[in-house]
Amino acid sequence: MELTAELPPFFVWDAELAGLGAYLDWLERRGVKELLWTPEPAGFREVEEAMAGRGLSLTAVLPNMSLYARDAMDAGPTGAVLKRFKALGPLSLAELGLRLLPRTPALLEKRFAAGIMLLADAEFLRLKSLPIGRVALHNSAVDMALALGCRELLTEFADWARARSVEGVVLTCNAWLWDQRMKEWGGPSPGIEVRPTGPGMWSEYRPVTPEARLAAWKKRAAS
Amino acid sequence: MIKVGIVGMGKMGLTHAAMLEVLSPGCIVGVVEAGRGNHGTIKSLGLRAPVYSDLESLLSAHALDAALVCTPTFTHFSIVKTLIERGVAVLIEKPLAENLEKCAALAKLASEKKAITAVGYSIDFDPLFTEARRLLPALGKIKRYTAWVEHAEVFGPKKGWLFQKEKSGGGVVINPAPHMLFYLLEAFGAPKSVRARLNNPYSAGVEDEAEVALEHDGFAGTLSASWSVPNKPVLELSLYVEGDKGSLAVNGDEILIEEGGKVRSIRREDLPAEQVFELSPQARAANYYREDRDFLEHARRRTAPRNSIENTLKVDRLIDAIYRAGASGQAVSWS
Repeated sequence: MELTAELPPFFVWDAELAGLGAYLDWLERRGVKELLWTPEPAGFREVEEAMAGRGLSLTAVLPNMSLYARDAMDAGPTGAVLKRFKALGPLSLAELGLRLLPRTPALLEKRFAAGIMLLADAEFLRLKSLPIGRVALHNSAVDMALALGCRELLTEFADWARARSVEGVVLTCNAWLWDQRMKEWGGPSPGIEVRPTGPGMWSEYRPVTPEARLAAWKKRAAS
Repeated sequence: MIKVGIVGMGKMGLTHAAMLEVLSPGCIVGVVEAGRGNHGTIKSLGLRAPVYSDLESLLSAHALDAALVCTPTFTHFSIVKTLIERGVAVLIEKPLAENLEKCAALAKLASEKKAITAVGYSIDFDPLFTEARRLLPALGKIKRYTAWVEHAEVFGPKKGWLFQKEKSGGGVVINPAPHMLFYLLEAFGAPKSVRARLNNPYSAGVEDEAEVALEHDGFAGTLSASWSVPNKPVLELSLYVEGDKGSLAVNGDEILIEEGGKVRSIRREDLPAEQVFELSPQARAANYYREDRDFLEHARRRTAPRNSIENTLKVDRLIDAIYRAGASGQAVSWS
């Protein structure tokens, strides 16, 4: 299996003086071939610049469930979706409209799978300028579906990926539950690769000794 | 099989539903969601249980053994009271209620009815924090501690019940901070007195930041809580403790313990492995799985969990003391 790394949230690497490029150089030296990235609008330009000319394949983890949950806290679930629509240009918005047409009944019924794929679509359309090799369905959405028995999400995602000619990957933190469900459901949806999530490699890139970490806590407590 | 209902199917209700379906498939016999517009989403998730619009409909249709209450704080009192009176074991998402008077009334009722109750202080089910508590005696005599509760949530005026004191009970002290308050009370016991400084740079009706000083017998602690800390996308709880034989720090990632001049790191993966359902590693959602597992077990055996309303009433008393200290600017005697 190819070595994969995860890109930490924007604020982690944004604070680095050497920037994202140095981290990607380090990953490539380690033999990493694929980078998993949960897109945040704040980091689009930096990721685009840092990825240019590299042999790394970029896998977008969609939709960004943490960002959606935060936006939904502020603006409600519908407001959070509208925020994603507003971020699209007129052409992308029109494209989204066309893509949504076949899913209108499911969206009107507020079906979970249709809602997740709507978010994924709105976010995917913003990534056109980035070298996205694959799309991974976010583990929180997948694991919620596995727990409650929403097979529809996996079939919808497989169809979605096929229609957009991208490779679909499903992320899960519960490989044991995935195996259990696949036995019950008669196997995964065709065209989907399943991956367990794993820790990123940032802490290896920026190692700090336990002594230094505890000293930082001590200093903070004293301040 | 134990029959469970969930009241409130927002983010927390859905999270618990997922946990319960993995823990004990089919145990959820019905759920309540007041917003009819959300019923389609809930049904489409694969949940086989019927969705009701009110608690009475759920209780009329099913003889529940247990229920989880995941509704806004200001609705807890009447829902929990009804469930206790019907003999249903109940797990309530924290905080228990919006003021001490209501919390005390529920504790009294729970005690009278010998009800099985639990309040959702999920930090108590976090293996790292549990291990840290176990390691505290190794630090010798406690000299001081500092705790932090940090979240990037409020950076301007916000709307909704959470920001209306009469509905939520307050801001950062009563909402995210009780997890840490319960932990501190369990680890260090009751303080003798409390001082607090509350600030609300963003919210009109509730505090966004709190600096709390807790005076114990022979040592002191501080709690710094804010939901306006940039770059904290998920709630972060951290604690630093100093004793006469060493010091310890714990957060969501690791324990650092200094013993005999050496610092040792203990990470999650160093602790005994167990198969849990993880919905969001960032948010440590597996703690909800452990919490629900513990609650179901106590509901089955009809035994009192550690986080029962009676045992967690001290958290509500401490919250009340913090608010009184913040309002008066004076130390409030507490124990």
